[in-house]
Amino acid sequence: LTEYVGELWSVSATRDGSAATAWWWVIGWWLIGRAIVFVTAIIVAAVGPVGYLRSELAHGPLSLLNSWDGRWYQHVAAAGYLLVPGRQSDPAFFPLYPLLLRATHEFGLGFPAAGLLISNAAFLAALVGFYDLTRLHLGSAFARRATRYLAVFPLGYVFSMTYPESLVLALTVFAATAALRGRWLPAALCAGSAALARPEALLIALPLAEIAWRTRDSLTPRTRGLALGAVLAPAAGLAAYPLYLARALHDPLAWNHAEQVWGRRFTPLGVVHAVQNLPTQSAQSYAVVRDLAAVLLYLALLAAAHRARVPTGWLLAGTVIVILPIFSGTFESIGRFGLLAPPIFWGLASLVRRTRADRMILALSMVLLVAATVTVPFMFP
Amino acid sequence: MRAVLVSLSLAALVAGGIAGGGLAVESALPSPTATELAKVGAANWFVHDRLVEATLGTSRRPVRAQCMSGSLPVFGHRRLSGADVLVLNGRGAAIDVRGRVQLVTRARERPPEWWVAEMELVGCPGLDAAVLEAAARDRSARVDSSSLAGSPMLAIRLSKRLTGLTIYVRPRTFEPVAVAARTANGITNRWRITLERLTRADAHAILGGVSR
Repeated sequence: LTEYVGELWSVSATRDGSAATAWWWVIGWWLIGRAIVFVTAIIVAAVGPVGYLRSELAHGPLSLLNSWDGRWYQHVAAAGYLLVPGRQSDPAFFPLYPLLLRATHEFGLGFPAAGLLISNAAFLAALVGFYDLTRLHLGSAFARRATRYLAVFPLGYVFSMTYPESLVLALTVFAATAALRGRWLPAALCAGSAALARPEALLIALPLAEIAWRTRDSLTPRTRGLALGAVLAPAAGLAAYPLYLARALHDPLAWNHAEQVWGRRFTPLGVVHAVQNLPTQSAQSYAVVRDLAAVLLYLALLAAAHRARVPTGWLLAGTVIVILPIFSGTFESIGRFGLLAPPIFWGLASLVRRTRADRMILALSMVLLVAATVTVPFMFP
Repeated sequence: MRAVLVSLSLAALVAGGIAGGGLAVESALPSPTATELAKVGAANWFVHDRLVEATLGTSRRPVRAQCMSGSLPVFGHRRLSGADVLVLNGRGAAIDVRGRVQLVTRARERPPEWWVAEMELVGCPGLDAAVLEAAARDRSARVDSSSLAGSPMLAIRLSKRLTGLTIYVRPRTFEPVAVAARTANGITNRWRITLERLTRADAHAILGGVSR
């Protein structure tokens, strides 16, 4: 891993003049995006609107970023899992993020502070990895555009919340960049870890398989085995969770049982149910309208990514990340799930050729990032 | 052939290492205790619609009560999702929706306060999954080894608003078989229970006297 990080640094240096310049540029955009989210969160906590989070927002100036599922992750970190039949319960939340919360808590940080630290540090790492991955696939200028869009993406406030999305994105892009450099063991470790944090990370196997296939002629039997291991790693990481649930709760399907009570039940007719449920769900919360709009936007951006000749493995993975959750009978939260699909941001970057359009998209994204952060008290991500 | 074997072995080693490593790391999370699992296992039996019949004696008079839990499409268009319903001698019903007790009678009379105690005495809503889950989480309820009619049992002891409840469950399956209840003023009740899924027709028949 150390060798891989050193290589990442040196490649940045050769392509962009100096490693320090490239990294400071990424850090700068990370600071801009996170400053927008943090300042908005502080203002919301101070003057409202409080929405459904009246009591939670009283806990501190950044409590907005610890709300909704963040409370569940903190609960798992503190007390572990317990499946409560027929009720919303915590096996719906994958274990890597609460494990990191618990580990950070050991250094004396409270769980809310630990969550903010992990998520935002992981997002910085994700931006670095995403920039590097995009540059390897599509060139430096494209990478700069796409990284800027990711840094200030309207739904990207989730990357600063006590949610695992930033961690999973970081592990996913590092797995792919490691694979592109022939570092299959770090790729396997990152991919397997990502699947221990979110089930969508299973789909990193598709781009990894594509990379392995394209480089198959240059692989030795040893590296071929490691490459195959990296392709299997997400499934292995994912399998570790039901194995743990079987041991701890005597129910390997506890995740599935918990998800059903959270309103997600995968069926072949799930898409039909999702459309049928739209009027009812949109009457209860505008979140489903937001997520439906996100699905349509993501599909359009994936089509744009296809035209930009983004590798097929990534396109497939991105499409499945957006489409598959609809089969659970709802559009809810797909806006958040799609944040884990790099080709969506590549598609956006591919649409922009001129500086003026680039600036317009950045300005619009920042305004929408503020607006989306303000809506957190009213609708869960 | 040897090259293929080397590749496959390494792939299996990497994948196995990831799964094993993940499992080892997950062990750092606190695991539920046997006591917590017993409470949740007992709660599992109460998730679905159920019928509990009990005859209890209060200081006033014997009462025959039917207690149901689950989603019953009764009372017009209202859907009582997760509600507990107690029907007392066909005169009326006490409904507990998420901890808020509503009392319904045909005569629109103000229902007596002791109905709430009777609801809890009959184990409704005291046996509800949420109560057991809450007890499991805050670790306030005790689980002791016990026996009932010569059979080994686990006794889960819970505190309710007005009563104390002891639920006797089978040690392996956590199936509830009996309940003992005691109010603050000393009224006690103990009864065996059977759990069965209710059909909608059953629910309507039972609630027919008070539905509107």
